[in-house]
Amino acid sequence: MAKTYDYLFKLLLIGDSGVGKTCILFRFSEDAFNTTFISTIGIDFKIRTIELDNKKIKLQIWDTAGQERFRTITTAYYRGAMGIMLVYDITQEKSFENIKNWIRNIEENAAADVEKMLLGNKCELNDKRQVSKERGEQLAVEYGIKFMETSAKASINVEEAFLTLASDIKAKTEKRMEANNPPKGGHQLKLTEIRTKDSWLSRCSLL
Amino acid sequence: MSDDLPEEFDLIVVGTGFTESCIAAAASRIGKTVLHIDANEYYGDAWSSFNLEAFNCLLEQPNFTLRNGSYIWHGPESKEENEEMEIVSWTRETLLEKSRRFSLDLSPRVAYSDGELVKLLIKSNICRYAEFRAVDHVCILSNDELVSVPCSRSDVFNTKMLTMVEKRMLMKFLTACNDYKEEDELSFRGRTFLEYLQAQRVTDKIGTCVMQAIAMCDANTSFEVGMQRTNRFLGSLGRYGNTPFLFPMYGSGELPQCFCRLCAVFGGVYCLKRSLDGITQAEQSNELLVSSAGKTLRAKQVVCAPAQLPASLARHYGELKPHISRGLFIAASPLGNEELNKGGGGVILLRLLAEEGAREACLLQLAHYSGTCPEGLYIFHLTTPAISEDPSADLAAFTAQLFQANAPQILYSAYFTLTAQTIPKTSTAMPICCTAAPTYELDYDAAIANARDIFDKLYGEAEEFLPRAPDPEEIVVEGEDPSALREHSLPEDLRAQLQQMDIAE
Amino acid sequence: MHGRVKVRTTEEERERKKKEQVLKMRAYRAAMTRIQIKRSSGELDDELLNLTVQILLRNPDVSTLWNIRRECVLAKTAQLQQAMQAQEKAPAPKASEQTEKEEEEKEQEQAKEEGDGDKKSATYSEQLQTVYATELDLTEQCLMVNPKSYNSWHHRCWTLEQNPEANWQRELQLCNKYLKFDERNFHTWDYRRYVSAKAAVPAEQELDFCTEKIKVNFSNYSSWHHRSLLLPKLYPNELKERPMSEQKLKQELEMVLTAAFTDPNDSSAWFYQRWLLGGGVQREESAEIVAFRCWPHKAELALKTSCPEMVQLKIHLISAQNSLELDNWLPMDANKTQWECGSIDLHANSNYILESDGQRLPLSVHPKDESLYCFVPPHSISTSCSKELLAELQTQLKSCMDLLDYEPDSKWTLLTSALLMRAIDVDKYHEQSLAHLIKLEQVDALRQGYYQDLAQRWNMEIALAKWPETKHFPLVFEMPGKMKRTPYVQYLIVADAIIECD
Repeated sequence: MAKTYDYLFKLLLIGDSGVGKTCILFRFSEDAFNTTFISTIGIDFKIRTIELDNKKIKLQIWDTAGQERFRTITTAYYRGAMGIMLVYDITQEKSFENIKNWIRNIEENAAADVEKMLLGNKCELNDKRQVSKERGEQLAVEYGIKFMETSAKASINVEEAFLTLASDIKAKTEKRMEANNPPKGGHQLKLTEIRTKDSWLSRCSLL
Repeated sequence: MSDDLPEEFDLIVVGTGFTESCIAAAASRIGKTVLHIDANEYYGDAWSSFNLEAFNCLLEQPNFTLRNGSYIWHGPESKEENEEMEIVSWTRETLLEKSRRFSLDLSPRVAYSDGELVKLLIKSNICRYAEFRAVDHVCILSNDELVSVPCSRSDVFNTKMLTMVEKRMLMKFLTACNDYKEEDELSFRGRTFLEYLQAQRVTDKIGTCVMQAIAMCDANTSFEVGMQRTNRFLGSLGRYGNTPFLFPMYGSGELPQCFCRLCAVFGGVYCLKRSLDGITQAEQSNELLVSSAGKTLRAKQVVCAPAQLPASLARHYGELKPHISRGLFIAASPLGNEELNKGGGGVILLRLLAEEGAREACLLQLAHYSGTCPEGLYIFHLTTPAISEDPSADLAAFTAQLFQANAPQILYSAYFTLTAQTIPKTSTAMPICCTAAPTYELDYDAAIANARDIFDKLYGEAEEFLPRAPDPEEIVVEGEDPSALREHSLPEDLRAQLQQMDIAE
Repeated sequence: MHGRVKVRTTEEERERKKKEQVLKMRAYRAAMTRIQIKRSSGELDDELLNLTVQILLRNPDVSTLWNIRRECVLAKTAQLQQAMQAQEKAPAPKASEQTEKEEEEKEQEQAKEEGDGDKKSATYSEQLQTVYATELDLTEQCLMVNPKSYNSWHHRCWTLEQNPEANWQRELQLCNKYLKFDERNFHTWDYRRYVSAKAAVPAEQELDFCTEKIKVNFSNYSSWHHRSLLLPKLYPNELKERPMSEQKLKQELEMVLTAAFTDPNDSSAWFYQRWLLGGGVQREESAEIVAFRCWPHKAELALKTSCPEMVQLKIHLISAQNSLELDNWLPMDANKTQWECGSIDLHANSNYILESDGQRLPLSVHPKDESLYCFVPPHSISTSCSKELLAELQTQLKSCMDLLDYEPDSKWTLLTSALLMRAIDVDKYHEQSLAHLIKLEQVDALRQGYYQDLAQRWNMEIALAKWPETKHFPLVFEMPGKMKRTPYVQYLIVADAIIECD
């Protein structure tokens, strides 16, 4: 029953196939870069605990499990998400254009107050660049969200991006807590909650 | 979107309803390559949930699974229309404005906290994709009033419905059932549960609670079945909330998606808006040739929801008949008193009887905490086994009991029929396995049993059905030394400490 | 791609865990060594504080480290307070022989400086609050690791005591949070009492909170106990014979019996009920004289309950002529219920009254040796209660008897009904309540001795109560049966002979 963090934030990675979502995930959670990660099945989220202003924050970062490929991300994927990283590839014009579609998707399925951030990944490949930094910035301004260019391979800005997103969510959460507005939500089923047959009779009893 | 779909799969699953998704996940989990498609553009088929606008569209266009759809707006169309009238905050316009905040189930269900579904979700680790709300009250109708049945020990302690001695009687009865072992009470073998209850000298009030809500019996239910149901109820108490039931947050339509997510995480490929157009046996091999969207795919096996069968095959499965009659209501006020809807209300379950107990229906009332509607609104789901092509007539006996005395402020009402084929014993001549349509049940036991059956038939009982999915940190990434301890997998504080030490040294 | 996930084997996992353990050990040793060096050289700084955090977060029960933290905090706060005082005292530079203009400039500068000074002292007090906030954050994190850590709770109290601006409301919220987590954690309940006193939470509000917790789960000794502390304050009993006002007592009895009926095997409710049926708490706090005998040069005194602090009790013999203080009491038994005073000089043939702490007892002349004595049998007063309360007790007894119809062997019901009978009318129900004890000896054989002892007490009580009406009073007392250890033995100091049963 020991809980070793103050906050748990569920974050999502969203964007076209091949923009490097999984690599960003592994760079942040394992500080590693390896293209074989992508073919590793069975991993649907990674966890990293960070510390901000003396508070321990457990970040649970979910990957799309390939369901972005045919635009079949389940609505359930968006449930309970508090932050979303929208990722495009600066060397793929199409992935940048699709950001608008993904934002529409988010508006339809995620909570209205979800924190969003735009990432232009693979910024180490400057010579193959198709999307200028200015266009990224402009799009972010249009949607009123933050923007960074990142490189999972060269380890540029990945850490900063997650810390920024987490600290924005933390500020929002604390504001809501001050307003005495507890976040709603349901139970997550856990193995540890399984009790014995007489659990409903749980009582104090002396021998 | 380029269609760079692989052409060969171990299994192609057609339809993303609960049962099909279960099978797809189980197959993917044991390493089979799976393609999961659905003719609809949404997940869930007859088990899906919709926002208000999409739900209305669905009712207007009957398909294989749903027919006899109709809906009526009861409130004013918009604000202007009722200027002289008292202030009405909800209008057709305002409801449609919030369309996306609705999650309207075709097949709403609850799950026993220790039932098959919950056990399966926990065992397979699929539980990490779903959230639940504990059902707040299990009710009975007593003199047309909704009354909460005391479920837990603290309910019995707090209820004003029972006298002190009745409290003791109920607790004693339930404890006796809880301790019941098959070798005891031989004297009631072959008799009814009602007879057993009467022999325990309980009062009428307790009898009603037990028969209607706890054991969910009628006068003919056998002693053994009644006892089994009572224990299913008791065994699920004290786990998550005050009642033994859980309701999936954001609606029952989330559940098939959770299984799909697991399937995808283990490599399953997903395509929606893609139907099964035809299927033939490949020559000189056991493979099946599946045509879909102008392409031919090869699969070792195919599982299909009955409603998504190509016409050429569907005829083998008999006629589509009304199976379940559904009513769905959106109201601005809840059923039941203030106490039952404390803090805006939660989820209320009520089993209704009509025609002297010969027919029954299930009512599920959802408030916004269930994630299925905007704050201030309530959804009533009514479900009964169909007896005609007219769902509203089928449900009339129940709506009369509910709405006449309580008169909630209903803004919208809809009726529809879910169909099922009269499937003959699954013919072995068929090259594919067909799942069963949703049946009338509270939990998912029948659907899970159906999925497990088909899985066993495909892969034999030696393969485990949905073994526990490992947590991400247990998985060895390709090329990694499995016993190596990477710095990043250490707890953050220890890492910081070790770094500091290195600096100091 | 093979398609099946590769998962670490248990052997590989164990190896990883071992490696992690080694690293943890290394880190722990290094930190501990560093801490000891710094402490012995008096370096009570931030680094030392940080070093203890690393260990405490993993094991919040290393008391030494909390002590070190307290030393650090004290050093830090002393420094900050000194700096603040120094600033206040700092004299403003005086200017002389300057042109007006220069003067003006100087003044402006000075004003600016003073402004800065204000800012600085504000930051000093802010810094002070940060020091306390760090300690509170740390204990909160440690309590997440172990919500029953004595050290963490204690350190939290200590920190709050240090800070004159402690936010007690926040602490109350913390209690709510932890009690939601585990409503039976007695550490949290204790802490809650401490905090609610500091925050001056109205007792009504606390009682409501407590009622809510009982509604959620009544199997909770802590919440019943919390109640028993609040009720006598909120609803005092004028006569101090009952724990609280009779009106409230009636409601409490009803609530607790409902709990007991819901689950008769839960002992917490029965314990609370016994407390409710017991005498007033306030009376038991002061020594109550039950028997007294006094000869010209010596006196003996019996108290209802043991009283180790006899010195504080002022005992006077008062007659029309004079008042005589009796002191220098010496205990006659190990229980300290019987006391002896050998240094008096009493002039007989006077009507004396014994007075002590609100009690006034007229003395009679002993037929044996003309000594003076008084005797107050047990239960001589507390049998009186209002009609309403009596009715409630009778309803409860009826419910218990109904329940016994259903479950004749229910241990707690047997005992409680016996207690209820005695609360209603000791005399009338004496035999019946004893019958319940005999039944209890069978159904609860483990506690046979306890029930026998209880039966002897009840027998003795009734015998003592009836003694003054017998013709041998106060010369001879006849024991009501065989006793293993005589209860109420101190009452017998007025008797000259005790007849034992065979």
